[in-house]
Amino acid sequence: MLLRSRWCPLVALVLIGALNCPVRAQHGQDPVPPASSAPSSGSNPTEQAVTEQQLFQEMRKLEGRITIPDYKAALLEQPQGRSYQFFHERVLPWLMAVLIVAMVAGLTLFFLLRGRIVTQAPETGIKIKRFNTLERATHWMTATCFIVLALTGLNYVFGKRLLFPVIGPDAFAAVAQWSKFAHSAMAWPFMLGLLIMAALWIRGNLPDRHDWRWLREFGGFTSGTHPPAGRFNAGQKLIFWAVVILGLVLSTTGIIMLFPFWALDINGMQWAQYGHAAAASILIAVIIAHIYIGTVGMAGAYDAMGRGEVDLTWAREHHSLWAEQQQLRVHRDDIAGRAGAPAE
Amino acid sequence: MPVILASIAIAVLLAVVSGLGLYSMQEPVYQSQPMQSVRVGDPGHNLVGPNWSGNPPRPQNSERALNATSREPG
Repeated sequence: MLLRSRWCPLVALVLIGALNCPVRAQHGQDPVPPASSAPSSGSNPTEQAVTEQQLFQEMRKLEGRITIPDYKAALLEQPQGRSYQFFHERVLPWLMAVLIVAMVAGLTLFFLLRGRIVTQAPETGIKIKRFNTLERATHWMTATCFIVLALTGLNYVFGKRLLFPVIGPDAFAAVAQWSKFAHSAMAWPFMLGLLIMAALWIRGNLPDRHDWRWLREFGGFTSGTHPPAGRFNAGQKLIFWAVVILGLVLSTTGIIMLFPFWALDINGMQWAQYGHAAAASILIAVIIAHIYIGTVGMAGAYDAMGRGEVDLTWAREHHSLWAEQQQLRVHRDDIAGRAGAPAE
Repeated sequence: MPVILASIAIAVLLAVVSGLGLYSMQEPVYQSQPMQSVRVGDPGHNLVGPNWSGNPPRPQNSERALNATSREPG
């Protein structure tokens, strides 16, 4: 009896444990045995199900049926979409970053090697009108728009990578929303300014026989003397044509994206994005160089667009042919003024 | 400097005017592409309401038929 009473609780525990096993199994509390040790009792249905990747490889397109009127939403994936995603998420950030960083590094190196470009002769104090009010107003209006467009455009690419971790999701959402508004709105005065600038300066920026020498001597950097140049030298002409051509690309593709699916389908929209992003990357790098040479890179360059006047020495050294023309014109005006003056 | 400040002001003014014009041309998707289904952005009147019980709605005709049957003798 003593033996029986001693073993009774143990037997009861074993029985309770055995009865409890199916209940624990149903609640998923049993540890999962390793795949190698446990014999397979059946196939996993989700393991056998077709994946999105397999469907895409087989059909090239994933399409479905939808109930909303926008039929385009029925197309879920297509090969061009994946190429576009690869460009937008992988190629574009690197393209922009490399172009901008390389330009800043190159200009820094140039500044360290060459220093600030100053006039060799002392200033005369005689000022020559370089740009009139309309030209300067158009330049600064377009420049203002471009800076806003560039910063808000860079936010599309780098915002989630650089700004989001710093300012957090709420602030970034607000910044991104207002950036989008500013980008769409500032595009219009930018396009207007671009057209006016092109009309004002296209004549002075046509290629001439002095450009090749200027380019060969890198604006006098290699020869040590300033090559002759008209109102605009070859470097300025390159910037002008870059702004006009890339600006037109940006304007055209920008309008296409402002009115989505109005003229093109989804593939066309993606190509517009390719062109817009590539042109913007190059133009931002070009404008960084333009800002450098117009401010710290060359003494007197800011006065041309800031006040509209330059010193005669600066004009003679950097734009010798234009300076001669201006002096001849002033001389002719003086003679005509004296001839037309009434005799006393 | 006055020319620069005036140019910035002109750029902002033109941007505001063109932006307002641009956004006035846009219309919400429930206006441009109307449909009978419920939209999350504009649910309209097609909602279950606060008295929703979860039971399927009883058709009006079957309710009348049920009342008529219950009134019949036998």
